[in-house]
Amino acid sequence: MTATATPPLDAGLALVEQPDSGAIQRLVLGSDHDGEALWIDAGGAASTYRLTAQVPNRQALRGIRVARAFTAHQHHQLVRNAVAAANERTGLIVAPNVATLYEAADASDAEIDRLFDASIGLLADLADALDAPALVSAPRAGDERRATVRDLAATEIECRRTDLGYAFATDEFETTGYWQHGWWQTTIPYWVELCGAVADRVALDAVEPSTTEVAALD
Amino acid sequence: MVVAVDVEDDEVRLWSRVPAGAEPRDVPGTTTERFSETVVVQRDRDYAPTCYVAGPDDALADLRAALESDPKVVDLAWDRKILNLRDDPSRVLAVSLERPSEIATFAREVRTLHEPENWRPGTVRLYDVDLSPKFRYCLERGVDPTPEGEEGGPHWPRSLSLSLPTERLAAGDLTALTCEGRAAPRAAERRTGEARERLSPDGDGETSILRALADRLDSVDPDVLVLSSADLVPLIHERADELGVECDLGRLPGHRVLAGENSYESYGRVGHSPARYDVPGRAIVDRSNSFFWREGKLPGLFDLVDRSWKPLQEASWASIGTVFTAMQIREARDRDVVVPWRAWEGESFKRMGTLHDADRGGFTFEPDVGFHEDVVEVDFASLYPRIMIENDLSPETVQCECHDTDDVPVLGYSVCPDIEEPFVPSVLDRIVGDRYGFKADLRATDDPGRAARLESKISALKWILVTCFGYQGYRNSKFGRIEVHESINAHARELLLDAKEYLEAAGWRVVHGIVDSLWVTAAVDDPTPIADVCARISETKGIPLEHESDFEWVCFVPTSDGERGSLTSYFGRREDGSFKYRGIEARQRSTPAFVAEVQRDLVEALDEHREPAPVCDRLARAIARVQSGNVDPDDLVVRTSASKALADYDQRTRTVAALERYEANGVARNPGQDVRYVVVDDGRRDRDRVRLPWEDCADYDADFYETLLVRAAESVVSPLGWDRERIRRYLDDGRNLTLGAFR
Ligand SMILES: [Zn+2]
Repeated sequence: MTATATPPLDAGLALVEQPDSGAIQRLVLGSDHDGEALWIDAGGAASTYRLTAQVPNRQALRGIRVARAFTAHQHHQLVRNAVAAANERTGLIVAPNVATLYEAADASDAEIDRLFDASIGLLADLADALDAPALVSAPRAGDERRATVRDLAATEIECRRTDLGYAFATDEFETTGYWQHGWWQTTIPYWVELCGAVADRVALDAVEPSTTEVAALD
Repeated sequence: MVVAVDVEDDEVRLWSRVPAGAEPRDVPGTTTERFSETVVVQRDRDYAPTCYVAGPDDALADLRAALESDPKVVDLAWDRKILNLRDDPSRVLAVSLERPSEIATFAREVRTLHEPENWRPGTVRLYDVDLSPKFRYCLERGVDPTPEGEEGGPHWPRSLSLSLPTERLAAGDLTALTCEGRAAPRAAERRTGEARERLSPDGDGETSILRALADRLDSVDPDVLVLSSADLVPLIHERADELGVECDLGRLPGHRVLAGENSYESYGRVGHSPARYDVPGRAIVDRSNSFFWREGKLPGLFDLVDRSWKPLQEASWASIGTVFTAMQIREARDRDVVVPWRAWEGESFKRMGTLHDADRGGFTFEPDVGFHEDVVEVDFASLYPRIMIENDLSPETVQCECHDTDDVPVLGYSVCPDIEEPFVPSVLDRIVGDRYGFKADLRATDDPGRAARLESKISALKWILVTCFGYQGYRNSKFGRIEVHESINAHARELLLDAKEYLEAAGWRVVHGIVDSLWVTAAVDDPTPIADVCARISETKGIPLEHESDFEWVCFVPTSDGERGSLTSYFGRREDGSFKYRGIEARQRSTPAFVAEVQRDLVEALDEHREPAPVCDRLARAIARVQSGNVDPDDLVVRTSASKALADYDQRTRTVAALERYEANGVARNPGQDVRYVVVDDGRRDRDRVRLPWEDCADYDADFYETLLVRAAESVVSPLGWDRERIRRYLDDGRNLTLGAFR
């Protein structure tokens, strides 16, 4: 049986609903994008990339170019720099914690909202122009900013952390195998059971919608 | 000469202390008035601060047209300024505002009104916006806010210090106000905290206290008010009003609130800044809110004023980073470089592999846990600044566009050789050089007052040199560039690894190393003398490696899981008999004085016997004392700080219990502020778990403090292989005190 850990990535902005920062990293590693990936970093995701994504070797880091932002203004500038840096070889855009720096910014809401909307808009436009996927995540972001991202996103990728590793789901895809500590495990029965379990746990929605399914696995 | 700067919307006042009858330095645009024989005030009624806007020509033209009718704007002009250290000058729009307070309004309007009309965000960029008002005035008008007289002499600024305990301040009770001060302040006296006196020996009522204070202000006529808390300003003024006493802290009536109090979060730690007040004619130093007061007292602060041109009051509440930034801003102005308002410039795209190489942080060599005899500590002095100076590392030199050389180890970044005086190294070079000079002066002087002033300056500058170069420094920095910080780290790692190799080749074994220090012991009978090795390394590397300490012995403490060596916890005895403690309880802020004292005693026991058992005997004696209830509760105060507001805690911690008591006492405690308590019944979950230091405390929870003592003992004996359980077992084993405990 061939197992697929991560879903195929379609062109356009994709919101990754992740239980932790490792998920988006796993997606990048699992994707077989052509050419180069541009990674616009916030919240230190790139620093832990090697650690949490279980990057097998240095080779696997090749083809990823990264730049870190530490303020909202830097983040916006990096998005613009990414537009300038992208070329026909660019096959993937990654922007983890896309709202984090805007939420923490020490400036007027009007200024920051405008900056955030422009950044997200540019990322979506860039993905379209390159005809490549742009993975973004916005964990712990406020409702309004999440809504902004969701409106522009072409797809949503649900991600869960399980005892056996990460599991991903989109409208057309569900993980049928788990990557864990460097080897593959196929666990379809387990998976089916989980999906059955989810329906029974709607009550957990009240806590935080995006973590319902994660909670169901606890 | 200027000590206090009052920036108000209708006028700016510069207050100077001068020799009797002398004139102050001329400041164009001001009129001079004599306030007293030795105090003058210069008034400037036409000051209009200037900021700059850059952007595409059409956007700037648009903006200029819109601003023509803006009543806040008094002047618009085209100018040329350097916007980025790496660029040539660009055309900018210089905008002068009628009032100093309008700069912020103007900048916000550009961002949220003017720009959105026709342009995408970030099209126009603003410069010289968020300079603090007093600093800005001095910069724009070329006013040096540094006293001119002989340091510590009769024309040096005078200070007066006022203190009121926290709980009295909260209760609005001025009767306990004490005062300390003389016409010519002496740092040595101030340092010991002596010479504190009651203001009014003949009457305790608030009226007589306030009258006595007014008399004292009159007779001393201080230039600087050093207050236990700036909240004294409104309290004293309100109370004087109520009681009909004429008592003004300033040289003119009244005070202003410059900023309300607030709590903030910075890199996961919650801080708190209290409200700030201004009184006319005098600089206020809030002791509860001044890092540099703690580290450098007035001499250290005045030295920073001299370097940064941040007037005393603003320098006193500034963080290390803010003062260093001000020094850079001064240098920038000399170079026609303007200061960006928002930090727009991020990292440039680099390979993920390069990032991981660059992100490894400082050098560490895991300590060899245990007890080591005859250990030598060697340090690279001011390592990071010297690396920048030695290698010309600066935002405009690293990864330049004109060279493709491989200059930074491992990372392979280029460093431009064509830049005459790199920006950051120029600023640092003066600090490193001057501090070195102060140290030489200190060795040479036999005047205790001068020695104390030099020590204060050395201490204040130390903090500038050790803290501005990490990533945190980068995030806050106006002139930071991440590639520079990566380059510093890469050089530092290489330097330490090279030094380690040199030392090993010379017959030494490295037992511990971190960032800029190495601890070594002789690996052979006859190693090359350490002084020779240091001289050799210093000469080859261009950065002095100093022979810091000789230890009779050093203990490196394991991590709490006992598995590895803790990088920052050790203690030892130097050859001169003094002890050094790092990272262990005795050095931690939260540790009660009694526990810290016992731990130091245990270290001495270890020194005497070199075995764990006698240390535990001494511990048993301390436990017996704490269990007998004979320890002064004042020595059992735990000091911590609240990370959030009381209502936001959902667990019943000791801090919560203490916060509830503060609240019941009417003492506001905001996130980030100090919380102090004595644990009286650790089994409870309500506020009777603790007492506040000033509350009556009949009894304390002896078992709680016993646990702290055992933990402190564990740090001392764990290098010898004893953990907490082993200590407990030994204590329980019949409580067999050896003679050692009674010595
Ligand atoms: Zn060059």
